[in-house]
Amino acid sequence: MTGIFSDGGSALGAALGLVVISDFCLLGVERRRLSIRLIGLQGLVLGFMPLLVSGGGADVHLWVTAVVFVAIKAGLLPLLLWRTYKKLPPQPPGAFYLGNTGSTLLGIVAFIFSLWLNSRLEMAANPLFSQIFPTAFATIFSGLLLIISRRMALTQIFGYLVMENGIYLLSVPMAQESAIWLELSILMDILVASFVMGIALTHINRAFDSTDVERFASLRD
Amino acid sequence: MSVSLVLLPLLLLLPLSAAAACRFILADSPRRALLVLTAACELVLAGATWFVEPASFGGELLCLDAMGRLVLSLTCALFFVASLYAVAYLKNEQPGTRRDFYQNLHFSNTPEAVFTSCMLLFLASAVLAAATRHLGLLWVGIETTTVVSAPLIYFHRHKRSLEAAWKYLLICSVGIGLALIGNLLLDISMQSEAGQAVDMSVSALSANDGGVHAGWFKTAFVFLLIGYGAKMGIAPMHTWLPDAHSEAPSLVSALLSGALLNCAFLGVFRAQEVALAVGFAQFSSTLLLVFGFFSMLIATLFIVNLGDFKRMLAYSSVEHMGILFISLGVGLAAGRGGLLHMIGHSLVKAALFLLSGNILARYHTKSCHDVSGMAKALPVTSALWMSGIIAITGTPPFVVFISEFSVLQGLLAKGLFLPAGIFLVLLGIIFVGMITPTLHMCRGAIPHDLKPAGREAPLLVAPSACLIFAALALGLFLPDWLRVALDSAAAQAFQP
Amino acid sequence: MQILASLSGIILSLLLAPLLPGIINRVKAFMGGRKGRPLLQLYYDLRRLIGKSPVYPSVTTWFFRAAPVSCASVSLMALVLLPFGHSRALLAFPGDFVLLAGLFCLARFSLLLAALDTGSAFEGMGAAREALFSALAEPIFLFCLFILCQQSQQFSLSVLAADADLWEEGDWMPRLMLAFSLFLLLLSENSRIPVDDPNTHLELTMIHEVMILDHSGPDLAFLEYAAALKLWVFSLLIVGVLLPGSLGLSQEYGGYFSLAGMFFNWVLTLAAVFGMGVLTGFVESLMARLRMERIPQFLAMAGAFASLAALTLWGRA
Repeated sequence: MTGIFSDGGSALGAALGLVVISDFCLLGVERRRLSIRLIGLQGLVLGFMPLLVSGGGADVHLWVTAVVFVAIKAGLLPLLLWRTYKKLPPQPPGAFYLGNTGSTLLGIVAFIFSLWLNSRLEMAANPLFSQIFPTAFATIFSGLLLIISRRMALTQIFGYLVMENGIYLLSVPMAQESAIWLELSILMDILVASFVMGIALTHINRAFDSTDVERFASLRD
Repeated sequence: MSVSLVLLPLLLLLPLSAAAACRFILADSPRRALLVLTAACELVLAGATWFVEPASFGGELLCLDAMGRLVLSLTCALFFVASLYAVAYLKNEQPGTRRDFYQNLHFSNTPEAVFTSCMLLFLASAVLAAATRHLGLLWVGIETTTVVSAPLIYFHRHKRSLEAAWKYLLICSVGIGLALIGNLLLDISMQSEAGQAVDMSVSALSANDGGVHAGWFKTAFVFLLIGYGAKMGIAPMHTWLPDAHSEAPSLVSALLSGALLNCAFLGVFRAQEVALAVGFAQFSSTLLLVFGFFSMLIATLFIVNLGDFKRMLAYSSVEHMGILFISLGVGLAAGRGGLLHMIGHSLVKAALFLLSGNILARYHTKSCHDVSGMAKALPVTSALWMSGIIAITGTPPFVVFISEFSVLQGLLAKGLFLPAGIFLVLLGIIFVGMITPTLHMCRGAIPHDLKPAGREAPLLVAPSACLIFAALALGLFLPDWLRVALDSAAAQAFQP
Repeated sequence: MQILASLSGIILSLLLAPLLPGIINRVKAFMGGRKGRPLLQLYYDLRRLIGKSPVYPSVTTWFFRAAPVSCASVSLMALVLLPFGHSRALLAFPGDFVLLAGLFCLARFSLLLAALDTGSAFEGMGAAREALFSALAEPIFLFCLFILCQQSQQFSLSVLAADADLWEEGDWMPRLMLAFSLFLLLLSENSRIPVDDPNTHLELTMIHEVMILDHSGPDLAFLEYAAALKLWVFSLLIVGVLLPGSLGLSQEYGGYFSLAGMFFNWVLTLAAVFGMGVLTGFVESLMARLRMERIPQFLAMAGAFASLAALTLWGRA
């Protein structure tokens, strides 16, 4: 009897679909509380990626990796964001340069572009790559879009994390057994980076009474 | 034999463990002593790598080549000097809340233990970046330098430094993220032709000659250039650099300019190394030249009439990073000039930033117009500052002159006459733009609300004096061992 | 046998539809740390309301009385058009998806007229809001159905059923997007939380509840039942989009037209529909109600996902 997710391919497709859905929800969502949850969801899906792409050959090694990734991406990172979020004042409405609908539309344009690009690329070596590429591209782009289009510093951290998630997704088809340590150290780097960003943000909030990057205007030439 | 085995691990672990220890040392003076001691040990170890070939670990994961040794030694030397300065600097910092002389707002410092351990972590990550030939690990090292140096920038937690630190963190993290994409694309460009996994170490990538997908490789190189270029302060991604360098404590600015930028340059250097090996040097050199000249141009436009001496130094860093790019783009025609320029710039710029801290402490302003009569108020600093500015603008007999001259020679030898002319004109404008405010600062009368002569603490001036003297000495006489080291490092990535 | 399978699906739907709001309420209560009202509360309510005699406002006309009947009959008709899990719908013809969308429009139209018929300011306000948001939601709904139905040549909703070879292998991306878009529409069309709060009794913020404020007795029972059926239909639709991947499951039970296969289909579909209820309750307890001016953006998201689904399908082709 075959299971609902009988083969790795459809499970991977479903996971990628969830990632794209969380990307666009992040672009469309205004409330930061929900954004943190969405980042957690995205991290959860991404954490299981190594298992999904391995195509059934799931050994203990891969499971441990997946558990560690999920623990960091869906556990520690959202927790860090949550702690920072708790310390910040409520977000004033309209704290963006480009509204939610506008950024969603731009995201769709980017997704069309990535699909087009994917159809143009010839990737002989790695069929997995062409399956993952559009999603990875859309994720990286929506991360950058979040950084550029939002005025609150916390949302920019969200954007940074989403971008890193996209890069991680891009690296999944190329992941070699031996490169797990590298993925892990990159992940630790990102963890520390968001930790430092969170700390800097609390200091910024104390000094400026706001985390609106619009206030960062004293250093000009 | 055993020395060579422990050399690299020791270089990495020493600052790491010292950083960990810092959190447990409560008193200030032993912590400062630990900082200096670690810096001294690292300097000795870095010196030892010149005599004993350190053993590699994990293929090229931990591996010191000629270029790595150069950057490593430079970093350790600068860090040692900066740590000496740090002792005097930290002693002068009053604890508790005080008023910011610029915006008159209250602020407090980051705890000294955190500051010291971040400095040591910075050293560790810089060492990691220098002592690897694995592109992935190099990325990790460079990204870590960003993360641990951000708390250094907002040592004084006031609005401007926090703003600068935020810009620094965000721009550099995103830029470095782009470099990571570049790394992945590089891997793809190799994998798609080779049909199998390729190790990310420079030699493995370079050995893969012919089997490279051209489109992917070019895209990868652009990403790497933009990513590490953002970290280096290459225009148009340079916007964080003047802010971070002007708002950080002076000794941090010195480290950022002298050590951090070199580490980021190492990223571009490795990318060019691969490009050279797989035969895309023509493409990459053109890109390097374009970005280099653009940076010089931007720096020139901003540096004239800037009115803020720390920002002036920061824009001068943008200019010199541009020159480094140009020398890398010109290739071996510029001889060892490019790497000599890296050394010269690090020495002089670090010295200047340290001196700017003295000026700032005395005058409580960063404006060139409000500082005058330094020759009377701070005689030693004034003399050093003057010679430092003269050195950094490429005036003989300092080393920067020699290196800039060889870059110019390289441009001419390549037949790039118009760029060579532009190069000279931009250097000339920058010379005038930097010398004019310097003359105003050093000469003239002391502002009436300032007490005349004060004694200058030796630890506050001696480090810069050493650095400027080294720059002068290198300009007059280049020892043979350094010549050999520069040549072998240049041979790695400079196209013939 | 096939007709029997379809009929049994409709009867099951009619019987179990009022359970769905109960499930959502229990999940919300559980998430909020409360006990919540009984699972069968809507059944009790319906029985109580049926037993009462209706009261009609003196100013109303037959529009007011027509609304409950048309709403309930439309929902019944929708069940006839929609396949239940893997069994075909009772009525399937090319273009039936347009009829489905049109039927919901008809129900809404009659409800709006009834609300306006009372002449009450509040009900008029509710009707205006409903008209505004549905004007945005309906095209997206039709678009979603179109994407779904153009998958096969028949242009019929019954392509969702098992015997139609609908999706290619690894088509999860567009399916998830489509399902998500339909889910957002489910939330908005059935006045669930980010758009409207079914539990609120503050007239200023209500949409659906305020329109049926003057209905009473069996009329209200019909409206409540029709609302539950509509929720059921939407859930069934989403389940239909997501389920076809598990075709292999029931082959060994001798296809769908044996008794065992039919039974299997019931269990699977019902479990999935109730799962949708749990998911809805989950989302409702995690989200807060949106400001009125944000609702068009919410619907724009639904449109965005529908177009993403179309794009990924196009990108595959």
